[in-house]
Amino acid sequence: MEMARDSRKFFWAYTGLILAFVYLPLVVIIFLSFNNTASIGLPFIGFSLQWYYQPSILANGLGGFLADTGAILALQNSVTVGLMVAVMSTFITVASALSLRRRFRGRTFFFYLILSAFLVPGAIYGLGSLFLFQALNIPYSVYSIVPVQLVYALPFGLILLLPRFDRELENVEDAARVLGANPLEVFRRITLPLIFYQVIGVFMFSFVISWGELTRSAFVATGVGTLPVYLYTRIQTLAPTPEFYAIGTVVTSVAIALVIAAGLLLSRNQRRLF
Amino acid sequence: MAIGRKLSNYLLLSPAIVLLGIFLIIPLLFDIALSFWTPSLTGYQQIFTLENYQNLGLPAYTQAIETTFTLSFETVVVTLILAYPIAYTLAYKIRSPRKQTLILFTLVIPFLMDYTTRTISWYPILGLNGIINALLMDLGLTSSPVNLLFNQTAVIVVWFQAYVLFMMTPIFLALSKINPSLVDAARSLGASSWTAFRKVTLPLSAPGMVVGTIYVLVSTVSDFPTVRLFGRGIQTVGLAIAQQADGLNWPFAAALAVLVIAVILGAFYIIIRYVDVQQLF
Repeated sequence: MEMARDSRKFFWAYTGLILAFVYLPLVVIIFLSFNNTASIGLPFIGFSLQWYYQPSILANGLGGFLADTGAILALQNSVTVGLMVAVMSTFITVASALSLRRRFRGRTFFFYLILSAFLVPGAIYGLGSLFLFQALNIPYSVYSIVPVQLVYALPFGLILLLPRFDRELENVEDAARVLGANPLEVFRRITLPLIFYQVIGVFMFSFVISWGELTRSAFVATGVGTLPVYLYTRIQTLAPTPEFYAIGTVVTSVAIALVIAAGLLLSRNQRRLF
Repeated sequence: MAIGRKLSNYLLLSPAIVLLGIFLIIPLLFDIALSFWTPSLTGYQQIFTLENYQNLGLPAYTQAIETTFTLSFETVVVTLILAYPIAYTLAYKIRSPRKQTLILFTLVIPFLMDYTTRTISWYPILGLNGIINALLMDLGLTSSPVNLLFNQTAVIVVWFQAYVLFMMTPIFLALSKINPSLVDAARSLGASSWTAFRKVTLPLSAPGMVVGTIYVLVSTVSDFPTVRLFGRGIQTVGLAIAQQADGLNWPFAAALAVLVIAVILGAFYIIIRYVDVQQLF
């Protein structure tokens, strides 16, 4: 007993240590985004919100996030692309899950086909997409990012949604069917209300996938692209300032808020039908 | 009715099939096709050649290939060893499902950091007047700051922080599916807790380790932004692909891509011969 308690302490301490390490970069960017200096390093000179909003802080015109026209454009692109990906991903995920919940010929094949998008390294997939767009002569725009991110968002959505189709849900649907509801009515009046929270969860999660994606988008984006593409492109030509931390803090906070909300919705099991 | 139902299965899948057909399968086929075509100033000409594959043998690229797979392999080993105890803690040392979910969530959060910001955040941590050096000097382990940036170990550290979640989660899932009475049975038959772990728990958690390994391997091989921003001078295949694509030597970029896919499929094939990954789903 004594030993069991000791071992539990050891495992807790270990997990805590790794957690602290994994959180270190997050703490650093939030903390240093308020640093009153042009350097991205330590020490911390003093508290300031300048890197969030103030125009032309440095002699070369670089300023804070909200005064940076490129960053604002990238932010708009991130939101537009994210919403498009989330809407389409939700529809396709729900349709696919309604089919893949059943057993039928080819089910395993299609299940793994959707999952395989995770298994293809981002750089290789991004490269192939670049070739495709070039061959079809599709002009690059921020919208060329949408299908590329959509392919990547689907497997996540499917894995999150499929477990919701459990025995209990099936029983309720069967009851409705026995009582004379046609398939469309069953979906609209029974299935959809019962999986509603999970559907919203998939929507939010897909948005988050799009919001943070870089390796695939970098190949097919033009102009400022989305926020991650903008930051990645800019750092290669200009030395980074704490504005990066400010943008990073905002980008990360949005993602965290959405994932927490999505997680709460996904884990919610029942919604009252009537 | 039966036919209608069958048809509706495929009908419901059709949006996904169309999307993946056009935007996943065709791009990969393009990777393969271009690797056999001739580079030109505008990208490529449709003339068959094996030259792109011969160029993979140039010393600069054999070096990059070796570095990539060494780095990815080391990252997999480090994340596997360090993530396993966390998954174990989560699966067996925490009773309430509520706390389990909470800790899983806590682990997801750092993964949501933006790539570029996450990478530059390591400068103040590992830099000459960074946190780690301050710690080392306080503890008297070193008298002057040590350069911890821009080497392979630093890249592994960054990748560990970024991908440990994807190793931990599948192992946790595999561990939670093990029937506890199997371990009890081993113990009551006289196995020490270490032997029971080694002979029962560890082999049964193999599918989780495999899925985590594949995910970390795939992610690190292609994570060129981290290498470009952080590896200063380190060349990997992922980075070479991005550079060749920018430089419009598309067929050579495609040959590199095909090589990576071949290695990953090979690794995948060998692994699934020994471990049944489907158990996890």
